[in-house]
Amino acid sequence: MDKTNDYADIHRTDLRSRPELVHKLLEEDQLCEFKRQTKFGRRKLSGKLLFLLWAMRIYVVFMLALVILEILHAFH
Amino acid sequence: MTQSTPSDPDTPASRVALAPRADGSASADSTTPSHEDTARATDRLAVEKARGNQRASALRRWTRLLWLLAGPGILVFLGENDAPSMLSYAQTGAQFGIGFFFPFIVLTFLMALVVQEMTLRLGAVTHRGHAELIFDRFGPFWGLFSMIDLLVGNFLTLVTEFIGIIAGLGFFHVRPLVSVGVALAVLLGAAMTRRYWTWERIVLALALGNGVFIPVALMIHPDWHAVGKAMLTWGPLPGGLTSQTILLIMADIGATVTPWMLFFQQGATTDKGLQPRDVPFARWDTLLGAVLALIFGLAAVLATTPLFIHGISTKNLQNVQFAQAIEPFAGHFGASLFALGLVEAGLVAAISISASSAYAFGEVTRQAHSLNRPLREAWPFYLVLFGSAIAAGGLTLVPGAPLEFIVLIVNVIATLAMPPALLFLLLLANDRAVMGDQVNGFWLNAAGIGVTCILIVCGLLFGISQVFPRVFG
Repeated sequence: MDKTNDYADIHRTDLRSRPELVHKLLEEDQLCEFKRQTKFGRRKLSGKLLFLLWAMRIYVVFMLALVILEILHAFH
Repeated sequence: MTQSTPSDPDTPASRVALAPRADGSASADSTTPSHEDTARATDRLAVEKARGNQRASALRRWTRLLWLLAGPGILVFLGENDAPSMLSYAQTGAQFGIGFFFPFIVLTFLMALVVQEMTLRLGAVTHRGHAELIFDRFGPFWGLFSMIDLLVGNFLTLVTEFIGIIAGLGFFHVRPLVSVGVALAVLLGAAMTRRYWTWERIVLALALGNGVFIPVALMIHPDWHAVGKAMLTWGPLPGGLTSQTILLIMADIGATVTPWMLFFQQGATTDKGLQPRDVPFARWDTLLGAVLALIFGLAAVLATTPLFIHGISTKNLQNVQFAQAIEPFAGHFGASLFALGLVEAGLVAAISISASSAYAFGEVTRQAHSLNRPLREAWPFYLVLFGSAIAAGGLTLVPGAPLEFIVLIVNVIATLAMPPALLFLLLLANDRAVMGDQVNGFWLNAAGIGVTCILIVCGLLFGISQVFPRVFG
Protein backbone atom coordinates (compact mmCIF):
# COMPACT_ATOMS: atom_id res chain seq x y z
CA MET A 1 0.00 0.00 0.00
CA ASP A 2 1.34 3.45 -0.84
CA LYS A 3 0.88 5.41 2.36
CA THR A 4 2.81 8.40 1.11
CA ASN A 5 -0.18 10.12 -0.50
CA ASP A 6 -1.83 10.24 2.93
CA TYR A 7 0.38 13.17 3.83
CA ALA A 8 -0.38 15.48 0.90
CA ASP A 9 -2.76 17.75 2.83
CA ILE A 10 -0.98 17.66 6.16
CA HIS A 11 0.92 20.75 7.27
CA ARG A 12 3.92 20.57 9.54
CA THR A 13 2.13 22.58 12.22
CA ASP A 14 -0.54 19.84 12.39
CA LEU A 15 1.99 17.51 14.00
CA ARG A 16 1.94 19.39 17.32
CA SER A 17 -1.78 18.88 17.77
CA ARG A 18 -1.97 15.38 16.25
CA PRO A 19 0.46 13.03 18.00
CA GLU A 20 -0.91 10.07 16.05
CA LEU A 21 0.68 11.56 12.92
CA VAL A 22 4.06 11.58 14.63
CA HIS A 23 3.64 7.90 15.47
CA LYS A 24 2.67 7.20 11.87
CA LEU A 25 5.61 9.06 10.39
CA LEU A 26 8.23 7.54 12.66
CA GLU A 27 9.02 3.87 13.09
CA GLU A 28 8.21 2.66 16.57
CA ASP A 29 11.86 2.14 17.48
CA GLN A 30 12.61 5.74 16.44
CA LEU A 31 10.51 7.15 19.25
CA CYS A 32 12.47 8.51 22.21
CA GLU A 33 10.30 6.70 24.72
CA PHE A 34 10.88 3.36 23.01
CA LYS A 35 14.62 3.97 22.91
CA ARG A 36 14.61 4.99 26.56
CA GLN A 37 12.79 1.81 27.53
CA THR A 38 14.73 -0.72 25.49
CA LYS A 39 18.24 -1.61 24.48
CA PHE A 40 19.94 -4.31 22.47
CA GLY A 41 20.97 -7.28 24.58
CA ARG A 42 24.60 -8.30 25.11
CA ARG A 43 26.02 -10.73 22.56
CA LYS A 44 28.07 -13.75 23.54
CA LEU A 45 31.77 -13.19 22.95
CA SER A 46 33.48 -16.36 21.79
CA GLY A 47 37.10 -17.17 22.65
CA LYS A 48 38.24 -16.29 19.12
CA LEU A 49 36.45 -12.97 19.24
CA LEU A 50 37.91 -12.11 22.64
CA PHE A 51 41.37 -12.96 21.31
CA LEU A 52 40.80 -10.62 18.36
CA LEU A 53 39.55 -7.81 20.58
CA TRP A 54 42.54 -8.15 22.92
CA ALA A 55 44.96 -8.35 19.99
CA MET A 56 43.57 -5.09 18.59
CA ARG A 57 43.77 -3.43 22.00
CA ILE A 58 47.41 -4.48 22.50
CA TYR A 59 48.19 -3.31 18.96
CA VAL A 60 46.82 0.16 19.69
CA VAL A 61 48.60 0.53 23.04
CA PHE A 62 51.92 -0.70 21.61
CA MET A 63 51.73 1.54 18.55
CA LEU A 64 50.71 4.58 20.55
CA ALA A 65 53.67 4.04 22.86
CA LEU A 66 55.90 3.96 19.78
CA VAL A 67 54.41 7.19 18.44
CA ILE A 68 54.85 9.01 21.74
CA LEU A 69 58.44 7.77 22.10
CA GLU A 70 59.21 8.86 18.54
CA ILE A 71 57.76 12.30 19.06
CA LEU A 72 59.61 12.75 22.38
CA HIS A 73 62.79 11.64 20.63
CA ALA A 74 62.20 14.17 17.86
CA PHE A 75 61.65 16.98 20.38
CA HIS A 76 64.95 16.23 22.11
CA MET B 1 9.26 -4.59 17.41
CA THR B 2 8.89 -7.81 19.35
CA GLN B 3 10.59 -7.76 22.71
CA SER B 4 12.77 -10.49 24.07
CA THR B 5 14.29 -11.26 27.41
CA PRO B 6 17.92 -10.61 28.34
CA SER B 7 18.56 -14.35 28.30
CA ASP B 8 17.93 -14.45 24.59
CA PRO B 9 20.27 -11.82 23.22
CA ASP B 10 21.26 -13.34 19.92
CA THR B 11 17.87 -13.63 18.31
CA PRO B 12 16.74 -11.00 15.79
CA ALA B 13 14.34 -9.60 18.38
CA SER B 14 17.19 -8.75 20.71
CA ARG B 15 15.96 -5.52 22.25
CA VAL B 16 15.45 -5.95 25.95
CA ALA B 17 13.14 -3.84 28.06
CA LEU B 18 14.86 -1.52 30.54
CA ALA B 19 11.75 0.04 32.06
CA PRO B 20 8.77 -2.12 31.16
CA ARG B 21 5.31 -0.65 31.25
CA ALA B 22 2.66 -1.89 33.60
CA ASP B 23 1.37 -4.26 30.94
CA GLY B 24 4.86 -5.59 30.39
CA SER B 25 5.31 -4.08 26.94
CA ALA B 26 7.83 -1.47 25.91
CA SER B 27 5.58 -0.05 23.23
CA ALA B 28 5.75 3.68 22.77
CA ASP B 29 2.62 3.90 20.66
CA SER B 30 0.44 5.40 23.36
CA THR B 31 2.94 7.96 24.63
CA THR B 32 2.91 11.64 23.90
CA PRO B 33 5.66 12.37 21.37
CA SER B 34 8.54 14.45 22.69
CA HIS B 35 9.76 17.67 21.13
CA GLU B 36 12.52 15.57 19.55
CA ASP B 37 10.00 13.11 18.05
CA THR B 38 7.85 15.93 16.65
CA ALA B 39 10.84 17.69 15.11
CA ARG B 40 12.00 14.44 13.51
CA ALA B 41 8.50 13.69 12.28
CA THR B 42 8.39 17.16 10.69
CA ASP B 43 11.42 16.20 8.61
CA ARG B 44 9.86 12.82 7.81
CA LEU B 45 6.66 14.57 6.68
CA ALA B 46 8.62 16.47 4.04
CA VAL B 47 10.22 13.19 2.91
CA GLU B 48 6.89 11.36 2.69
CA LYS B 49 5.31 14.25 0.79
CA ALA B 50 8.19 14.18 -1.70
CA ARG B 51 7.88 10.41 -2.07
CA GLY B 52 4.15 10.63 -2.72
CA ASN B 53 4.26 13.58 -5.09
CA GLN B 54 2.97 11.87 -8.20
CA ARG B 55 2.74 15.16 -10.11
CA ALA B 56 6.50 15.57 -10.14
CA SER B 57 8.65 13.74 -12.68
CA ALA B 58 10.68 10.78 -11.43
CA LEU B 59 13.90 12.80 -11.76
CA ARG B 60 12.48 15.76 -9.87
CA ARG B 61 11.12 13.51 -7.14
CA TRP B 62 14.50 11.75 -6.83
CA THR B 63 16.35 15.07 -6.66
CA ARG B 64 13.96 16.42 -4.04
CA LEU B 65 14.37 13.27 -1.95
CA LEU B 66 18.16 13.46 -2.23
CA TRP B 67 18.03 17.09 -1.08
CA LEU B 68 15.92 16.11 1.92
CA LEU B 69 17.81 12.95 2.87
CA ALA B 70 21.38 14.07 2.13
CA GLY B 71 23.49 15.54 4.89
CA PRO B 72 25.31 13.11 7.18
CA GLY B 73 27.38 11.64 4.33
CA ILE B 74 28.45 14.95 2.82
CA LEU B 75 29.12 16.41 6.26
CA VAL B 76 31.21 13.50 7.46
CA PHE B 77 33.47 13.57 4.41
CA LEU B 78 33.81 17.34 4.17
CA GLY B 79 34.23 17.42 7.96
CA GLU B 80 37.08 14.97 7.60
CA ASN B 81 38.74 17.27 5.07
CA ASP B 82 39.76 19.17 8.18
CA ALA B 83 42.67 21.48 8.93
CA PRO B 84 45.28 18.75 9.66
CA SER B 85 44.03 16.73 6.66
CA MET B 86 44.34 19.65 4.28
CA LEU B 87 47.82 20.32 5.70
CA SER B 88 48.73 16.65 5.18
CA TYR B 89 47.62 16.97 1.57
CA ALA B 90 49.55 20.23 1.22
CA GLN B 91 52.64 18.54 2.68
CA THR B 92 52.13 15.62 0.26
CA GLY B 93 52.04 17.88 -2.79
CA ALA B 94 54.99 19.93 -1.60
CA GLN B 95 57.16 16.95 -0.73
CA PHE B 96 56.27 14.44 -3.48
CA GLY B 97 54.63 16.47 -6.27
CA ILE B 98 52.27 14.72 -8.67
CA GLY B 99 52.80 10.96 -8.44
CA PHE B 100 52.12 7.97 -6.20
CA PHE B 101 50.01 9.88 -3.67
CA PHE B 102 47.34 10.87 -6.23
CA PRO B 103 45.96 7.35 -6.76
CA PHE B 104 46.79 6.52 -3.14
CA ILE B 105 44.50 9.29 -1.89
CA VAL B 106 41.76 7.98 -4.20
CA LEU B 107 42.26 4.57 -2.54
CA THR B 108 41.91 6.09 0.94
CA PHE B 109 38.57 7.60 -0.07
CA LEU B 110 37.40 4.25 -1.43
CA MET B 111 38.33 2.72 1.93
CA ALA B 112 36.41 5.43 3.76
CA LEU B 113 33.40 4.89 1.48
CA VAL B 114 33.27 1.18 2.36
CA VAL B 115 33.44 2.00 6.06
CA GLN B 116 30.91 4.83 6.04
CA GLU B 117 28.36 2.78 4.07
CA MET B 118 28.20 0.40 7.01
CA THR B 119 27.65 3.18 9.54
CA LEU B 120 24.82 4.79 7.57
CA ARG B 121 23.11 1.41 7.29
CA LEU B 122 23.57 0.74 11.01
CA GLY B 123 22.04 4.13 11.84
CA ALA B 124 19.10 3.84 9.46
CA VAL B 125 18.23 0.28 10.53
CA THR B 126 18.76 0.47 14.30
CA HIS B 127 18.04 4.18 14.96
CA ARG B 128 20.81 3.96 17.55
CA GLY B 129 24.22 5.57 17.73
CA HIS B 130 27.49 3.71 17.27
CA ALA B 131 28.66 4.03 20.89
CA GLU B 132 25.29 2.84 22.17
CA LEU B 133 25.43 -0.29 20.00
CA ILE B 134 28.99 -1.10 21.10
CA PHE B 135 28.04 -0.72 24.78
CA ASP B 136 24.82 -2.72 24.36
CA ARG B 137 26.29 -5.59 22.38
CA PHE B 138 29.84 -5.83 23.78
CA GLY B 139 29.35 -4.48 27.29
CA PRO B 140 30.91 -1.53 29.14
CA PHE B 141 34.43 -3.03 29.32
CA TRP B 142 34.99 -2.97 25.56
CA GLY B 143 32.69 0.00 25.16
CA LEU B 144 34.87 2.09 27.45
CA PHE B 145 37.98 1.29 25.44
CA SER B 146 36.38 2.48 22.25
CA MET B 147 35.02 5.57 24.03
CA ILE B 148 38.49 6.45 25.34
CA ASP B 149 39.92 6.06 21.81
CA LEU B 150 37.17 8.28 20.46
CA LEU B 151 37.16 11.02 23.07
CA VAL B 152 40.96 11.35 23.28
CA GLY B 153 41.28 11.31 19.48
CA ASN B 154 38.41 13.78 19.14
CA PHE B 155 39.83 16.21 21.68
CA LEU B 156 43.29 16.20 20.10
CA THR B 157 41.76 16.62 16.65
CA LEU B 158 39.58 19.49 17.91
CA VAL B 159 42.71 21.24 19.17
CA THR B 160 44.27 20.97 15.72
CA GLU B 161 41.11 22.40 14.15
CA PHE B 162 41.44 25.51 16.28
CA ILE B 163 45.15 25.70 15.43
CA GLY B 164 44.11 25.66 11.76
CA ILE B 165 41.49 28.35 12.31
CA ILE B 166 43.94 30.58 14.20
CA ALA B 167 46.60 30.07 11.54
CA GLY B 168 44.18 30.67 8.65
CA LEU B 169 42.75 33.85 10.14
CA GLY B 170 46.26 34.87 11.22
CA PHE B 171 47.03 35.25 7.49
CA PHE B 172 44.52 38.13 7.58
CA HIS B 173 46.07 39.52 10.79
CA VAL B 174 43.20 38.40 13.03
CA ARG B 175 44.29 37.85 16.63
CA PRO B 176 44.10 34.28 17.98
CA LEU B 177 41.65 35.19 20.73
CA VAL B 178 39.27 36.73 18.18
CA SER B 179 39.67 33.72 15.84
CA VAL B 180 38.78 31.23 18.58
CA GLY B 181 35.89 33.42 19.72
CA VAL B 182 34.43 33.68 16.21
CA ALA B 183 34.74 29.92 15.66
CA LEU B 184 33.07 29.14 18.99
CA ALA B 185 30.29 31.64 18.23
CA VAL B 186 29.53 29.92 14.90
CA LEU B 187 29.63 26.48 16.57
CA LEU B 188 27.30 27.59 19.36
CA GLY B 189 24.99 29.49 17.01
CA ALA B 190 24.52 26.46 14.73
CA ALA B 191 23.83 24.09 17.62
CA MET B 192 21.41 26.42 19.39
CA THR B 193 18.89 26.29 16.54
CA ARG B 194 17.20 23.36 18.38
CA ARG B 195 16.66 21.65 15.03
CA TYR B 196 18.91 19.02 13.51
CA TRP B 197 17.74 20.07 10.04
CA THR B 198 18.71 23.75 10.50
CA TRP B 199 22.05 22.81 12.09
CA GLU B 200 22.76 20.40 9.23
CA ARG B 201 21.98 22.96 6.51
CA ILE B 202 24.11 25.65 8.16
CA VAL B 203 27.08 23.29 8.45
CA LEU B 204 26.55 21.98 4.89
CA ALA B 205 26.67 25.55 3.55
CA LEU B 206 29.91 26.13 5.47
CA ALA B 207 31.33 22.78 4.33
CA LEU B 208 30.95 23.61 0.65
CA GLY B 209 33.54 26.34 1.31
CA ASN B 210 36.06 23.47 1.23
CA GLY B 211 35.85 23.96 -2.55
CA VAL B 212 38.10 27.03 -2.33
CA PHE B 213 41.05 24.70 -2.84
CA ILE B 214 39.89 24.14 -6.45
CA PRO B 215 40.56 27.71 -7.68
CA VAL B 216 43.89 27.67 -5.81
CA ALA B 217 44.85 24.48 -7.66
CA LEU B 218 43.78 25.97 -11.00
CA MET B 219 45.80 29.13 -10.34
CA ILE B 220 49.06 27.19 -10.27
CA HIS B 221 48.30 25.77 -13.77
CA PRO B 222 48.74 22.06 -12.94
CA ASP B 223 50.27 19.58 -15.35
CA TRP B 224 47.17 17.51 -16.18
CA HIS B 225 49.21 15.08 -18.25
CA ALA B 226 51.30 14.25 -15.16
CA VAL B 227 48.11 13.85 -13.12
CA GLY B 228 46.68 11.36 -15.64
CA LYS B 229 49.98 9.46 -15.79
CA ALA B 230 50.21 9.28 -11.99
CA MET B 231 46.69 7.90 -11.77
CA LEU B 232 47.52 5.13 -14.22
CA THR B 233 51.02 4.24 -13.06
CA TRP B 234 50.94 4.95 -9.28
CA GLY B 235 54.19 6.81 -9.67
CA PRO B 236 56.63 8.36 -9.40
CA LEU B 237 57.45 8.14 -5.69
CA PRO B 238 60.53 10.34 -5.26
CA GLY B 239 62.96 8.83 -2.75
CA GLY B 240 61.14 5.49 -2.58
CA LEU B 241 59.62 4.00 0.54
CA THR B 242 61.35 5.85 3.39
CA SER B 243 60.20 6.32 6.98
CA GLN B 244 59.15 9.84 5.96
CA THR B 245 56.99 8.39 3.17
CA ILE B 246 55.39 5.95 5.58
CA LEU B 247 54.60 8.75 8.00
CA LEU B 248 52.90 10.67 5.19
CA ILE B 249 51.02 7.54 4.09
CA MET B 250 49.75 7.19 7.67
CA ALA B 251 48.84 10.87 7.80
CA ASP B 252 46.95 10.68 4.48
CA ILE B 253 45.02 7.62 5.64
CA GLY B 254 44.31 9.39 8.92
CA ALA B 255 43.10 12.32 6.83
CA THR B 256 40.32 10.16 5.37
CA VAL B 257 39.53 7.21 7.63
CA THR B 258 39.09 8.05 11.31
CA PRO B 259 37.04 6.74 14.26
CA TRP B 260 35.04 9.94 14.80
CA MET B 261 33.54 9.55 11.32
CA LEU B 262 31.86 6.28 12.36
CA PHE B 263 30.32 7.78 15.48
CA PHE B 264 29.34 11.01 13.74
CA GLN B 265 27.64 9.59 10.67
CA GLN B 266 25.69 6.99 12.62
CA GLY B 267 24.66 9.60 15.20
CA ALA B 268 23.66 12.11 12.52
CA THR B 269 21.77 9.45 10.52
CA THR B 270 19.83 8.55 13.66
CA ASP B 271 19.22 12.17 14.61
CA LYS B 272 18.04 12.97 11.09
CA GLY B 273 15.56 10.12 11.40
CA LEU B 274 16.58 8.08 8.35
CA GLN B 275 14.76 4.79 7.91
CA PRO B 276 15.80 1.56 6.18
CA ARG B 277 14.07 2.51 2.93
CA ASP B 278 16.15 5.73 2.84
CA VAL B 279 19.39 3.74 2.66
CA PRO B 280 19.79 4.11 -1.16
CA PHE B 281 19.62 7.91 -0.81
CA ALA B 282 21.97 7.83 2.19
CA ARG B 283 24.42 5.91 0.00
CA TRP B 284 24.19 8.59 -2.69
CA ASP B 285 24.74 11.21 0.01
CA THR B 286 27.85 9.41 1.22
CA LEU B 287 29.17 8.89 -2.31
CA LEU B 288 28.60 12.56 -3.11
CA GLY B 289 30.44 13.54 0.07
CA ALA B 290 33.35 11.24 -0.77
CA VAL B 291 33.66 12.54 -4.34
CA LEU B 292 33.52 16.20 -3.26
CA ALA B 293 36.03 15.66 -0.45
CA LEU B 294 38.33 13.72 -2.80
CA ILE B 295 38.29 16.50 -5.41
CA PHE B 296 38.93 19.17 -2.77
CA GLY B 297 41.67 17.08 -1.16
CA LEU B 298 43.45 16.47 -4.46
CA ALA B 299 43.13 20.20 -5.21
CA ALA B 300 45.04 20.89 -1.98
CA VAL B 301 47.78 18.47 -3.11
CA LEU B 302 47.96 20.14 -6.52
CA ALA B 303 48.06 23.62 -4.97
CA THR B 304 51.43 22.97 -3.32
CA THR B 305 53.11 20.96 -6.11
CA PRO B 306 55.03 24.06 -7.36
CA LEU B 307 57.01 23.88 -4.10
CA PHE B 308 58.16 20.37 -5.07
CA ILE B 309 58.84 21.33 -8.68
CA HIS B 310 60.97 24.30 -7.63
CA GLY B 311 62.80 22.31 -4.96
CA ILE B 312 61.59 24.48 -2.09
CA SER B 313 62.09 22.72 1.25
CA THR B 314 58.84 22.32 3.15
CA LYS B 315 60.01 20.19 6.06
CA ASN B 316 59.61 23.02 8.55
CA LEU B 317 56.50 24.56 7.03
CA GLN B 318 53.50 24.64 9.33
CA ASN B 319 49.90 25.68 8.96
CA VAL B 320 49.43 28.90 7.07
CA GLN B 321 53.09 29.00 6.03
CA PHE B 322 51.96 26.82 3.11
CA ALA B 323 49.72 29.68 1.98
CA GLN B 324 52.65 32.07 2.19
CA ALA B 325 54.90 29.62 0.36
CA ILE B 326 52.55 29.24 -2.62
CA GLU B 327 52.00 32.99 -2.95
CA PRO B 328 54.68 33.39 -5.66
CA PHE B 329 52.87 30.75 -7.77
CA ALA B 330 49.18 31.31 -6.96
CA GLY B 331 49.31 35.04 -6.21
CA HIS B 332 48.09 36.83 -3.10
CA PHE B 333 44.48 35.99 -3.90
CA GLY B 334 45.31 32.28 -4.25
CA ALA B 335 47.26 32.30 -0.99
CA SER B 336 44.36 34.07 0.72
CA LEU B 337 41.96 31.41 -0.55
CA PHE B 338 44.26 28.70 0.79
CA ALA B 339 44.26 30.37 4.21
CA LEU B 340 40.47 30.75 4.07
CA GLY B 341 40.23 27.06 3.17
CA LEU B 342 42.13 26.18 6.33
CA VAL B 343 39.71 28.27 8.39
CA GLU B 344 36.69 26.61 6.78
CA ALA B 345 38.19 23.12 7.15
CA GLY B 346 38.88 23.71 10.82
CA LEU B 347 35.50 25.24 11.52
CA VAL B 348 33.39 22.54 9.87
CA ALA B 349 35.45 19.78 11.48
CA ALA B 350 35.24 21.44 14.91
CA ILE B 351 31.44 21.51 14.59
CA SER B 352 31.21 17.87 13.38
CA ILE B 353 33.76 16.43 15.80
CA SER B 354 32.27 18.11 18.87
CA ALA B 355 28.87 16.77 17.76
CA SER B 356 30.39 13.29 17.43
CA SER B 357 31.71 13.45 21.03
CA ALA B 358 28.36 14.71 22.31
CA TYR B 359 26.40 11.99 20.49
CA ALA B 360 28.68 9.27 21.89
CA PHE B 361 28.52 10.67 25.42
CA GLY B 362 24.72 10.91 25.35
CA GLU B 363 24.39 7.41 23.92
CA VAL B 364 26.45 5.63 26.54
CA THR B 365 25.07 7.62 29.48
CA ARG B 366 21.55 7.16 28.06
CA GLN B 367 20.96 10.91 28.29
CA ALA B 368 18.98 12.83 25.67
CA HIS B 369 21.31 13.34 22.72
CA SER B 370 19.79 15.16 19.82
CA LEU B 371 20.17 18.47 18.08
CA ASN B 372 16.37 18.42 17.92
CA ARG B 373 16.27 18.93 21.69
CA PRO B 374 16.27 22.32 23.43
CA LEU B 375 19.13 23.10 25.78
CA ARG B 376 17.12 22.54 28.98
CA GLU B 377 16.12 19.01 27.89
CA ALA B 378 19.55 17.85 26.77
CA TRP B 379 21.99 20.03 28.67
CA PRO B 380 24.58 17.23 29.25
CA PHE B 381 24.66 16.66 25.47
CA TYR B 382 25.20 20.36 24.78
CA LEU B 383 27.65 20.61 27.66
CA VAL B 384 29.90 18.02 26.02
CA LEU B 385 29.41 19.61 22.59
CA PHE B 386 30.26 23.12 23.75
CA GLY B 387 32.61 22.11 26.56
CA SER B 388 34.91 20.04 24.34
CA ALA B 389 35.07 22.84 21.77
CA ILE B 390 35.68 25.55 24.38
CA ALA B 391 38.39 23.46 26.09
CA ALA B 392 40.12 22.71 22.78
CA GLY B 393 39.88 26.31 21.62
CA GLY B 394 41.09 27.52 25.01
CA LEU B 395 44.08 25.19 24.97
CA THR B 396 45.33 26.75 21.74
CA LEU B 397 45.49 30.10 23.53
CA VAL B 398 47.55 28.82 26.46
CA PRO B 399 51.18 29.91 26.09
CA GLY B 400 53.52 26.92 26.00
CA ALA B 401 50.80 24.33 25.30
CA PRO B 402 52.24 21.33 23.39
CA LEU B 403 50.45 22.23 20.17
CA GLU B 404 53.21 21.11 17.84
CA PHE B 405 53.18 17.70 19.52
CA ILE B 406 49.42 17.39 19.04
CA VAL B 407 49.57 18.39 15.37
CA LEU B 408 52.27 15.81 14.72
CA ILE B 409 50.46 12.87 16.27
CA VAL B 410 46.80 13.50 15.57
CA ASN B 411 46.43 11.87 12.14
CA VAL B 412 48.78 9.03 13.05
CA ILE B 413 46.76 8.31 16.19
CA ALA B 414 43.57 8.30 14.11
CA THR B 415 45.05 5.69 11.76
CA LEU B 416 46.31 3.53 14.65
CA ALA B 417 42.98 3.66 16.49
CA MET B 418 41.02 2.69 13.40
CA PRO B 419 41.51 -1.13 13.24
CA PRO B 420 39.77 -1.83 16.59
CA ALA B 421 37.00 0.60 15.62
CA LEU B 422 36.63 -1.23 12.30
CA LEU B 423 36.45 -4.57 14.09
CA PHE B 424 33.48 -3.35 16.14
CA LEU B 425 31.91 -1.91 13.01
CA LEU B 426 32.27 -5.16 11.07
CA LEU B 427 30.90 -7.20 13.97
CA LEU B 428 27.89 -4.91 14.30
CA ALA B 429 27.24 -4.78 10.56
CA ASN B 430 27.24 -8.59 10.50
CA ASP B 431 25.13 -8.92 13.64
CA ARG B 432 21.78 -10.30 12.50
CA ALA B 433 20.30 -9.53 15.91
CA VAL B 434 20.98 -5.86 15.24
CA MET B 435 20.71 -5.57 11.47
CA GLY B 436 18.19 -8.23 10.56
CA ASP B 437 18.23 -8.71 6.78
CA GLN B 438 20.46 -5.66 6.28
CA VAL B 439 23.64 -7.43 7.41
CA ASN B 440 26.76 -7.03 5.29
CA GLY B 441 27.04 -9.04 2.11
CA PHE B 442 30.13 -11.04 1.13
CA TRP B 443 31.81 -8.30 -0.92
CA LEU B 444 31.27 -5.63 1.69
CA ASN B 445 32.80 -7.89 4.32
CA ALA B 446 35.72 -8.64 2.02
CA ALA B 447 36.23 -4.90 1.45
CA GLY B 448 35.85 -4.12 5.16
CA ILE B 449 38.37 -6.80 6.17
CA GLY B 450 40.67 -5.59 3.38
CA VAL B 451 40.55 -2.01 4.69
CA THR B 452 41.28 -3.24 8.23
CA CYS B 453 44.26 -5.27 7.00
CA ILE B 454 45.64 -2.31 5.01
CA LEU B 455 45.43 -0.11 8.10
CA ILE B 456 47.14 -2.71 10.28
CA VAL B 457 49.92 -3.24 7.72
CA CYS B 458 50.47 0.53 7.45
CA GLY B 459 50.57 0.75 11.24
CA LEU B 460 53.08 -2.09 11.47
CA LEU B 461 55.23 -0.58 8.71
CA PHE B 462 55.19 2.66 10.68
CA GLY B 463 56.20 0.76 13.83
CA ILE B 464 59.05 -0.99 12.02
CA SER B 465 60.22 2.31 10.53
CA GLN B 466 60.43 3.77 14.03
CA VAL B 467 62.08 0.79 15.76
CA PHE B 468 64.40 -0.11 12.86
CA PRO B 469 64.78 3.19 10.96
CA ARG B 470 67.54 1.81 8.72
CA VAL B 471 65.18 -0.71 7.12
CA PHE B 472 63.57 2.03 5.05
CA GLY B 473 66.57 4.29 4.70
